[in-house]
Amino acid sequence: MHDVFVEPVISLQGITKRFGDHAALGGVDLEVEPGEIRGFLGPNGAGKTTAMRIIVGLLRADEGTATVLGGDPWGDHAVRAELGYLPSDPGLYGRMRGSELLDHFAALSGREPVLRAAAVDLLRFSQADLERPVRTYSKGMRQKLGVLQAVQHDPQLLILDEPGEGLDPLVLSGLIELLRDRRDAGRAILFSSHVLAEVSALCDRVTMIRDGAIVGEGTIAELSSQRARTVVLELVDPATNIALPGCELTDRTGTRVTLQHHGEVGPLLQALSLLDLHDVRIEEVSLDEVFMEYNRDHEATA
Amino acid sequence: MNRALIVRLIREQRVRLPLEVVLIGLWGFLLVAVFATSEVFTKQLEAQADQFGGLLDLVGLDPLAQWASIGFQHPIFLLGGGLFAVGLSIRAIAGELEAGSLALALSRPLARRTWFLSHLVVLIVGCVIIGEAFALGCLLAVALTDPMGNLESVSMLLAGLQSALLLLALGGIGFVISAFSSERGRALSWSVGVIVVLYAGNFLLPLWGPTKAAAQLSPFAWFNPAQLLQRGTVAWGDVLVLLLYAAIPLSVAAWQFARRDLAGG
Repeated sequence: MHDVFVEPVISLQGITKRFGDHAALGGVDLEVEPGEIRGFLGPNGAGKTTAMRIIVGLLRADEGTATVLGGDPWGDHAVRAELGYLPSDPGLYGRMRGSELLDHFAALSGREPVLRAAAVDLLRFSQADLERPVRTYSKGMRQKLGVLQAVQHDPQLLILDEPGEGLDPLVLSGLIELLRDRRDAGRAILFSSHVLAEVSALCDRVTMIRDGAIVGEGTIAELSSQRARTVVLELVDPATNIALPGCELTDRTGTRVTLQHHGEVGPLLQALSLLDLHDVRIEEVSLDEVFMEYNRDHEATA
Repeated sequence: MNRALIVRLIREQRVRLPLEVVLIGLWGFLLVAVFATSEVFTKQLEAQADQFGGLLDLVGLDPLAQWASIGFQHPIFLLGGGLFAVGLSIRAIAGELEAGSLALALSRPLARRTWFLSHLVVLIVGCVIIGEAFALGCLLAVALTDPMGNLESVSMLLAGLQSALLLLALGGIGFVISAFSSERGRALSWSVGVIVVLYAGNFLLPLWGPTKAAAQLSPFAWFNPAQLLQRGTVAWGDVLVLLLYAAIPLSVAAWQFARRDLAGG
């Protein structure tokens, strides 16, 4: 077992990165603690991959400070001994057998692949598959092999760019179990995904990025509480006057009233208790809605 | 250098490099064997040496030494060796970056300098093997066919090493273009283009007085093993220039690779 890291394993402060005239990142701050799974969400081109590549040391930030595992990922290659990285489109040497490729990357890491056997089981890889040349693999199998090369040496920090891409639901559940297990062992995980259900199932906290800037950060509950929830009322008397704290009427058809609620639920529940209702339904804000709303807000601001 | 990386690079070459070595060795063997069995060739060569020999600095040399020297400078040898040198150098950076494998490898505790040096070691060893394969092919044919003329083993092996320097210079051109590029195809096109221009320039520029001196810019102008094969003396000035021709682009490539963003792939 490795020692568990105590400082933030990732600390980005005011990171900016430009590619020519295009500002990929504009002053990004991000901290990820040990034992945390952090979801990194944003539309295509938002800057997720650029931020991840800075964390891994493949790109140099134009401004700001990046500290990863206590060191500078650009200048100090030794910090990467405790790092596992899965890019969004991992380049795997097609002529190698799966097991050879894993051995090769373990050797480059300078670490024993202590987690390989367990991860192979969870990701439903067979030994026969591992003995085949990688060029014969399907997209899903290549993705599984990509995950394996990142986790097999049990690094302190995992950077996973779209790890669930191309995986079937059974393997995906194995991946989620694997990552939870790593989190419980004190490892930190930063991962991006477009599958918001996957993020909801896995993440302790979520960071939302858009056009190179962080637009939201917190637990899913915190982010949801900042967004409008839908409240649906079934009135006894369709003529009832509706004036509820923090609510905005969006639809009223007969006895059915639909409202959008912002803020604390306590005063709302108190006000609802005074109304004569057949039914009331407060719909939970899903991560999908939070994500869509953040992006709508941002587009409106822009 | 990194052992695991070098092992992978050698494994990648396990078919391609031996095949090139056999073909280039065969080219050297056939060249001398044909020379040995055909007086017509010998006479033709003498006539050509009188006519064009000035360009290749062959006048007054032993016919077999001339023949072997032409073999070293022949497009077949240069194409075979160049394919290896340029292919390896293009794949080392632009190719692996485009494929996405460079990002995986450099997410390990592996310095870019180590990545570069490991590839350079394989490039140097491969160039030497290819150069000596031609020399050994020629020497084997000399031993078996006893051709007219004289070809010293030591001189041939030294010429093989000198040809390896030329191949290394070609690899250096590939490396420097690869280090500035993120696409394998583009880097390969540029490298081949530059090398073809340098090769053609070596033959075409001396034909016109005002451009004659410019031919010295080509690394091919500094590789002429004829004197070495005839007299056994190494032209150290030429060797030094070839060394510089390899070292300068390789140094620029190493510098650029160490500081560049790896955003492709």
